[in-house]
Amino acid sequence: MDLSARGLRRIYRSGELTTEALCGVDLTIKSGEFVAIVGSSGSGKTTLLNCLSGLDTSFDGEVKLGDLSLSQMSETELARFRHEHVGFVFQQFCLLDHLTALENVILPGFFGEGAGDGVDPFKRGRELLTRVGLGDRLHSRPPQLSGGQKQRVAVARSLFCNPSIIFCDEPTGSLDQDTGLSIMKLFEQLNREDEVTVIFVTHEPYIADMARRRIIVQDGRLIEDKSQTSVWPDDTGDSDEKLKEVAS
Amino acid sequence: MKGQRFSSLIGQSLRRNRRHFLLSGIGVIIGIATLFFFTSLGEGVRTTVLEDVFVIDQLEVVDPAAAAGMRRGGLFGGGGLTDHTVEQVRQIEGVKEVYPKMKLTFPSRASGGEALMGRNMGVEFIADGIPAEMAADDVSDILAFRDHDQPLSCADDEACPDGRDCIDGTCTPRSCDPRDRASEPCGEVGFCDRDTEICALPIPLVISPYLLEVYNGSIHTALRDSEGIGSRLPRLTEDMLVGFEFDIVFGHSYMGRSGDADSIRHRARIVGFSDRAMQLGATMPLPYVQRLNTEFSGEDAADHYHSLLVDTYRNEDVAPVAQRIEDELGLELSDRHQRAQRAGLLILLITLLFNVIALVILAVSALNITHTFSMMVMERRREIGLMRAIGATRRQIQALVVGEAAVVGLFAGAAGIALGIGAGFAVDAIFDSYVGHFPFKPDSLFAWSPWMFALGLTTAVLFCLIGALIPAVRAGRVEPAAALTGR
Ligand SMILES: Nc1ncnc2c1ncn2[C@@H]1O[C@H](COP(=O)(O)OP(=O)(O)O)[C@@H](O)[C@H]1O
Ligand SMILES: [Mg+2]
Repeated sequence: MDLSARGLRRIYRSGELTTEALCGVDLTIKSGEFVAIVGSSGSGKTTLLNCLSGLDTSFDGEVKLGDLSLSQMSETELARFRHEHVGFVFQQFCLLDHLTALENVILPGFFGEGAGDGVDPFKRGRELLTRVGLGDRLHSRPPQLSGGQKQRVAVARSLFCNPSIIFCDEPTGSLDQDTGLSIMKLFEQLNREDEVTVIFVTHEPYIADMARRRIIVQDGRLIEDKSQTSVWPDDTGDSDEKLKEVAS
Repeated sequence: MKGQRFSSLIGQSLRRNRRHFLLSGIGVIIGIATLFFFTSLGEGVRTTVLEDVFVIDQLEVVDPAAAAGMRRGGLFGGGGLTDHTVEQVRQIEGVKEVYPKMKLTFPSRASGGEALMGRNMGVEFIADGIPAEMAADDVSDILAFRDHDQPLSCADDEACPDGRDCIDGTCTPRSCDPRDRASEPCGEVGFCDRDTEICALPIPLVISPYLLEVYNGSIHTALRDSEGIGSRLPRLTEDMLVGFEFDIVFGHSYMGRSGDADSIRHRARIVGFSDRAMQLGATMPLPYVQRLNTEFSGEDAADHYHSLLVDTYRNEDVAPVAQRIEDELGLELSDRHQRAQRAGLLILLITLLFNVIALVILAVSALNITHTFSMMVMERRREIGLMRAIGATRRQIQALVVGEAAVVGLFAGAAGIALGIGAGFAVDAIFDSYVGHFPFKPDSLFAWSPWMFALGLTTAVLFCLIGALIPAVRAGRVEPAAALTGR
């Protein structure tokens, strides 16, 4: 399903002060794309992502996933929409520290259908953690994990309900360069193998280079939107990266 | 959200925020402990006062004329309480049985007591009579509580009581020699009457437990440290008194004598303790009183009862039956009933007063819960935002907060009840060791019944839920986008 925005405007009002964070964005992202949203701090990247993902519907204009129009959904329908169709990865990981990695991954299942009827959530959680390389840390709690490991748990969680799109707001923002790269590789792999649409926000050019399409936002407008061949730094071999992660 | 997952989420959250929840629950624990303590205390005291002191489930109808101090057959011509009245009361719906009571209408005295008290004593003897079946269950003595002068039919000597032989199908008293003390011709409970020289049985008496309580709790306590014989009086138990015999002189007392006939001396024996016995006196089977009254006060006295005890099927019937007795039959209830109602009301009011205090404590702790939970919601804003992002609805978030409050309420309620019971035991122990014996001193001041546990738990949960209402609404309002970006 394609994700599209038409005439998307978002104005923040706090008291007298109004900020127009998005001023008329038109955009279509096809199913299976690997998109970077780039821009300087305060340019409106997060706002755009929140509007596209159904986290924020106080916008003017229209956002649609396939035939579903987000602005016409009730709060409950929106919650269901987020549960079923999208996954989220945040810069701050947003894991619950009192839960184990496995419990964090299956958390979405507490609020809805989860991975679907008849799927054992714990089994699925273990599979997902194994897939992101944390098969041996199922019962560790976030404070015992490194930044990269935490973000892997978050990625596994975002996949729990089989989303068609994953939204990532600066997923590498809290990680060092190499760890960030390994997370990006994970996304690339998910995009390639599972055909999950990945939309991520970054302000670091070399991370943006890894996408196959790059959208630049400035002052709430798209000033550039073009396809590109993804460029991966070749100085980070897998073994190297593992070493660093163990060390961290 | 399925129940099981929901409760496991709540469990995880409670475990993490243990200290917060404990702090927020303390007020509720204290409030519930107070509520439980005073409710069970009030109930315990009420039970003792109403059931033991006033015997509230038993109605006593008195003759209005007699109650007003007028002679029977006087101004109102009520004619007193007769068998007809008994029948009328028996017809009232809810009445199980009516027992007429009649007092001795002439002076008498009792003497004896050496076996118990160490010396012989004499006192005014006040007694009434009740149908024998009323106290039959309370009697444990070998001498049954019934009219022993009523001719008994029999098949052989075995069927007759002590000192009687079966002659022509009737138990007939044996003749005996009153000077012969060795052979016990009249059996174990019988005795040889000095005047008639035939075997007789003592008059069986039942005594009210109240009398024993008054003696042990007041008279004995008051005289214990005195000089003179009072200090040597023993504390009495029911066992000591059952089987105790003494003499009664009918028709002649320390205060007066009956004009109509010569006095009669007769032996009496205490055969048991009964709530049905008169409180300050002794109670014998009705036929004795009827015969004695006829003899000393004339035929008329034997037809009029002094009061009627009314048993109802259920406790709830007491009030309506009392109402109908007063309104429809124009009869009066003994003031014991009114005093019981007044005492019950007073205790209820005091209990309510303390429960209001408990409710104030609970209200304050509900505010405390509001405060703590609001703080927790603030602290967990990002977490709530995340939950909303991954699919939690507003309602689910609210339910989570409310659920946590309910669990806190359950635990706090249980802890409060435990504390209340503990305090009860402590008070009982202190009371027991510092307060001496008094009439009707109960084993425990408290009465714990299942409904109080239910009340404690529901109240605790209720107040926690009320307290968590505002925080829950706030939690539901958390906007995921703003919460996740930390705004
Ligand atoms: N909740 C908000 N209330 C008011 N202003 C906001 C809010 N969120 C973002 N803004 C403003 O909107 C603009 C875009 O913010 P944002 O989308 O977070 O930018 P970016 O993610 O690119 O750094 C900024 O000027 C920011 O100050
Ligand atoms: Mg941002």
